[in-house]
Amino acid sequence: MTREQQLSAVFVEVADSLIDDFDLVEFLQQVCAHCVDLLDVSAAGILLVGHDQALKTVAASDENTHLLELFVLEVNEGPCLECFRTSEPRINIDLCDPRATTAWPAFAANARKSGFRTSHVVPLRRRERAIGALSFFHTGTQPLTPADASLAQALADIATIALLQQRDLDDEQTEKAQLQRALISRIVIEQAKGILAERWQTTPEAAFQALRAHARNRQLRLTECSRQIIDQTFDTNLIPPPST
Amino acid sequence: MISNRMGEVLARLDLHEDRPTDVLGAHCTEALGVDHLVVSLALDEEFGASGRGMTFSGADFMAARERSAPTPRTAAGEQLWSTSRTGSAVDDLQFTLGEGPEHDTLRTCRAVLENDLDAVDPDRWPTLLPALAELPVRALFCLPLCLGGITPGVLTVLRETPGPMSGQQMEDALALAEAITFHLLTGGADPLDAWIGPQCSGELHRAVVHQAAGMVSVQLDLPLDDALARIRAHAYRCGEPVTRTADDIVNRRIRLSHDPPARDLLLGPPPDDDPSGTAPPAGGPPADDPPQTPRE
Repeated sequence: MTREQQLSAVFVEVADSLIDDFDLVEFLQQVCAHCVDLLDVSAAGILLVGHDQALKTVAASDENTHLLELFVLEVNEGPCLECFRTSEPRINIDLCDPRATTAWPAFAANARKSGFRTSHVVPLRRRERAIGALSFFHTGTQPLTPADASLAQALADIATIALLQQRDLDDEQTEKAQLQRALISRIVIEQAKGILAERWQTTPEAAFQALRAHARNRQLRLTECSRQIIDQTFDTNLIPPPST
Repeated sequence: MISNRMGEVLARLDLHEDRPTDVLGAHCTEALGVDHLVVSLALDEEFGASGRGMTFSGADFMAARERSAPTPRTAAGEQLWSTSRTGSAVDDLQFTLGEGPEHDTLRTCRAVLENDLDAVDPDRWPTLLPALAELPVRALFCLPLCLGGITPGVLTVLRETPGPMSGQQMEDALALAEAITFHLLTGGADPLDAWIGPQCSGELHRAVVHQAAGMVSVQLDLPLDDALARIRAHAYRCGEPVTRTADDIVNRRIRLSHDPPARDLLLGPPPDDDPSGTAPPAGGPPADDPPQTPRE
């Protein structure tokens, strides 16, 4: 594939991710694979910040254990962590340069041991804040051109869009679930009113007053009580029936 | 561009200061230039006992008269709010019959636009269309309340005269649907509070139907969804609104029997010519009659 064909393949994949169900991890793996092809680097990986504010590796261009170990190291020290904290890209890091070896001694040593000489990293940015980083390693020393650096950032942005899209969908599902719970809760209470009214031969209103009083006294949730009455997992004889 | 008048309504809705029902009830039909509005919420079947099998489809309704027949299930809606009795009646009919544009919209997440109900293929909603013909409604538009991939409900727009909505009306209606969706999905722990009041005092439009389902489930020792199906079947057979049937049950004016609906008891003094007390409700058609118009 020419570079243009590769680029359009990436965009088609992104477009798919925005409309259909898609596997996020698989998508991010593919972004990593595209990075290796398009930017002529040896390996690429994506690290994301979790709820605990720690970086975790979510995708890599290959399952090489040395590579994965490197990414694990980067959680504690290395250009990825720095990039994540500053939201700034770091391009053409010479892993033999004293600046790298003194700043990140364990990382630089391990990267060299794995045969890498150069590293680049670009942030996954949402507005000013980074939510992760896209990290590259190269066994050679030839630098990324400014055009390649821009493309690297564009690929990171694409990964970010897919990520945020997925999070939004999750949020919507949560909100809808909340609305459903509220609605079901109302219905369940009405059904329980009817069940109690028939058992006690009273009105739904009187049954409700008795149910509510019982729930309050026992500090039970009305919806939970009602659901148990419906499921017949709750002995309604425990509720004092209305006096009428 | 939405119209200025609709813009004002939506701005007030956005403030979350007044109850949405007050804001929409006072100005919305006017701003939109239509006669009735209804908001119904989807009721997912996966949500346990209460949500299971709230409806079965109207096309199969008549075939499933026999109690033992399997009752096909479809997604159901629960009426949240309506501007009028006519609006409520249109939604209640769909709930009772288990078919209609609301069901289609919830299932497909697509709008249903019927400019002229008289021109709709009778096979589309075989039980609903004859019942709708008795109501002062000639054009019906169901818009999904959708956000991204989810459709939490449906906005039904009704007009007493046939004809399509204008481009402006459609834009306003879509903006309204979007605003309602957003309001519902960002309404906090109990998004229904703002619409129908807090849990202990507010009531759904069909609260009495769910109460009646509870009572019938005890009376006949049936699961709740079967009890509800019996109530709907009775309302259908008697050609009355499901809320009236439910009200009669809750106030013990009628009691459904163990046997198929024809034997349902009418409480109170039995008719003179039927000492057994098993006469069908007064005026009720035999079971094979077509549905009658619900009384408004």
